[in-house]
Amino acid sequence: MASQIARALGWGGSVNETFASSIARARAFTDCARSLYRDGFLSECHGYMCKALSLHLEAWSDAADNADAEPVGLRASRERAFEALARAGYRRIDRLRAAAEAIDSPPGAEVGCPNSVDFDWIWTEVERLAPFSARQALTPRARKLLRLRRGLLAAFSVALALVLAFRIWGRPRAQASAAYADTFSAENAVDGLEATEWLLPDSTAGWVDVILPFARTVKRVRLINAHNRISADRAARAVRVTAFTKQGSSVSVEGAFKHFSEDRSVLDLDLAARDVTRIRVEVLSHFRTGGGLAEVELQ
Amino acid sequence: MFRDPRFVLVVAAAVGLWIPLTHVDWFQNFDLGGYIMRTVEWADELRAGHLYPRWAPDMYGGFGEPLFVFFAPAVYSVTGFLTATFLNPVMALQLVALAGSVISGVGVYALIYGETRQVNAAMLGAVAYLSAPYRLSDLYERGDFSEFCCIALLPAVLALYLAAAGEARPFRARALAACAALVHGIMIVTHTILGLWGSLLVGLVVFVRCVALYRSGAWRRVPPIVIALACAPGLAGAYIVPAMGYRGVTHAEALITGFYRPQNHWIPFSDLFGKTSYMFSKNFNRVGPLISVAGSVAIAGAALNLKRSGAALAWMAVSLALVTLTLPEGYAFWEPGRLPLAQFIQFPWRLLGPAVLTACIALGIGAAAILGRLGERLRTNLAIAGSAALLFFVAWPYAAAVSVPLSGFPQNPESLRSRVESATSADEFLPRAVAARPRHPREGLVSATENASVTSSWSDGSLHTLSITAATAGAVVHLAHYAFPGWSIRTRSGPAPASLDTDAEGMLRVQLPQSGQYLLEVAYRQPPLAWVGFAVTGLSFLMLGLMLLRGSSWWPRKLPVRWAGGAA
Repeated sequence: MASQIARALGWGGSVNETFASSIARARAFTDCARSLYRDGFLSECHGYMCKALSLHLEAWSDAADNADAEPVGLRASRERAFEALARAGYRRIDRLRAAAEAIDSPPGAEVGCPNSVDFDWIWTEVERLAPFSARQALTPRARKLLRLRRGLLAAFSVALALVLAFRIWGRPRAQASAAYADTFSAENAVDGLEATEWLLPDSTAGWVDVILPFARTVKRVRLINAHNRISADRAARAVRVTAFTKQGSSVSVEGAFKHFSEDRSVLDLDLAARDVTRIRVEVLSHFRTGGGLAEVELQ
Repeated sequence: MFRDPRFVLVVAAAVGLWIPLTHVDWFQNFDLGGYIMRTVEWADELRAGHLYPRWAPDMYGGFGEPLFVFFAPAVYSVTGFLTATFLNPVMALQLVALAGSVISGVGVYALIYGETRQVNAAMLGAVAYLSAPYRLSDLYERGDFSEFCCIALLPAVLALYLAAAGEARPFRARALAACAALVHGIMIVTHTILGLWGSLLVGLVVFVRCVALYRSGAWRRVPPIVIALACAPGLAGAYIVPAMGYRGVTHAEALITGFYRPQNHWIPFSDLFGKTSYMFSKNFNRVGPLISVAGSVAIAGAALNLKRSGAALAWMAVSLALVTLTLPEGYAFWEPGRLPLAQFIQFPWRLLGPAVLTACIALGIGAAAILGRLGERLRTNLAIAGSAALLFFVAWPYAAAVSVPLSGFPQNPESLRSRVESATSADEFLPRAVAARPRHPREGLVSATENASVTSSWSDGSLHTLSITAATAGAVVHLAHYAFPGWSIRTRSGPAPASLDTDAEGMLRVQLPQSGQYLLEVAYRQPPLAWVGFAVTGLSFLMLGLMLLRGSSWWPRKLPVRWAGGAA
């Protein structure tokens, strides 16, 4: 379907239909050769591979022909094919020439059942020439589209890798002295969701560390209090926020939430610390049965 | 091959057999919550900057454990990665199980199709393998995600090696061999024990195919396959070398003593066919009916067309040999000291995984010979009916998960540290210097000091920062962390470099040579043998790269040709 649409838009198709059909025939011969190889018929497989190589070279020779050119012999045809291939930028013409000479040699010189030494290098040339010919058979626009698709795929891969790397190493992490339960873990305090909360065990003071991916300046810390939305039974009261650099603690500031609230309750604390790698928020006291925080935001 | 509707049916069956896992929060299994805990530890260490974590800092109540030095890392590297990015550990494990289920079906399908060129036979064989009770119970009963994935990769490895041997185009054959080595390496690091036994099976199959290539005259195709096969364990070197090297400094002997002795786990012949087993509530070793059906089909296929289906008899012979090793009749094979590392299989019935795989391959090849004599429509209908029968009568009873609440298992580092948990039941990876697992979680990073006071301490996974004041020269700080090769200390500031050693209880001990203020960083990094392993892995990749490059346009021409400056 996609190739049909591409053809309709003029993006697909071939430069030269005759060339393309010769290449398709060569591919069919290669497929036959592969089937024969799988079944252990090496000699027959080699025959098909040689025919595939001949077809490829004939296609290139014909592509190099102009309309009023006179028919020429096999050797001249091969030379024309090599010249066309060289003009198209094919590498290792010398090896291809040697392979062509090997398959063009008189039948008497061929071995009845070839062994690896005889055929492997010829088959390599067939395998190398086939995708090159297939690419050359495309219109410039189709080739451009192919390059564009590959470029887009590469760009998508790079973008995906960057997103994943950011998710792993680019966002703050959190760890805590303790948590009420697995569903109220420290990560809830830095996940950007106020609906999820880090809760301490009952009647326990504790801390949550926010570990930054890179050292940065922190001017202010915004704490959004927890309230345990199902039971509405716990929240932080007095807190101490300490900024740490690689050398140790640098700035510390204390504050307190005024009252328990089931609504959004915010406490902003000015810190103004440089090269901060970690922020520790200690819950010194709490409302009702225990402490906790919904979110720790650094500004 | 992959565009055929029958391939879609195989994938649908694989997904369908995985669906029960999505209906539960977590499920009752032999491993309990071990995979969740290991995933949590891997994800946390990954986020802390360790690409290949070796130490699980929160196990044993925060005393730590060299878990990933010894545990095959493939499953945890995927689940840990998914957990560190977007998912929770349970969803990550479910996705890995889905991948394992699909790869199982696709691998067998590709293998049988490659051998027979018949999509119907490939479908039948693939569904037979998907339906195998042992394979399903690996997931739903035993909860062994690693083994489940390992026996999912085994058919893919075999299919790739066989495709490399049967490919006429030289570069593509080398590329397939390189892919086979890569997947083979992944299989080894997915489950050590079955990776090893699977490798023996792969080696046998590759050997037979290489002999056939040599005899047919295509001997030049043999070296790339042999190189690929040799490189596969090398690719796993980053895991294997330290795991083998540090076995001696743990209680690894617990792996093969007592309950875990292979001699305690032979299964009676009746277990291969019975609904119940004396050991397990659900008899997942009941592979007898499936293997019997496979054997019958293989024999019938060989009777109809020995040339095409002769290989089925060989696969069946391998299957029966593997089954025999799980029975009491195979006792001689498992004698201690007879075969190196053989004792580490623990449960010989693990071989039922490869056994049922080889039986299903035999079934596929035999079915190809039989179905090949029928018309297209009839053979498709028969294959679909056979597949449906396998799914309903063989797979159905085993594709079920019993729900248990997830809340019983720790799902984050804080909750892991708050109790004495280990991801192994025999405490086999505790450092040897530690006599037994701790009774209580640790209370803090520092357990005791001698002539020193700790001003502050902070831990980030397996990295600890300590600010210490030493009152006298020779002051000592004891840390509540087990010692193991790989721990290092860095003196960021202080009068003299501090050093690290092990105390009598197997804990880390910091020695402070002079009095004064110290700022120290104690971290678990890659142990020395891990670097040897990385070198082995790197060399194996290099070998595979050179093998791929040889003969390509980028391969330099032979020197005499280049000196001559001319044509080949």
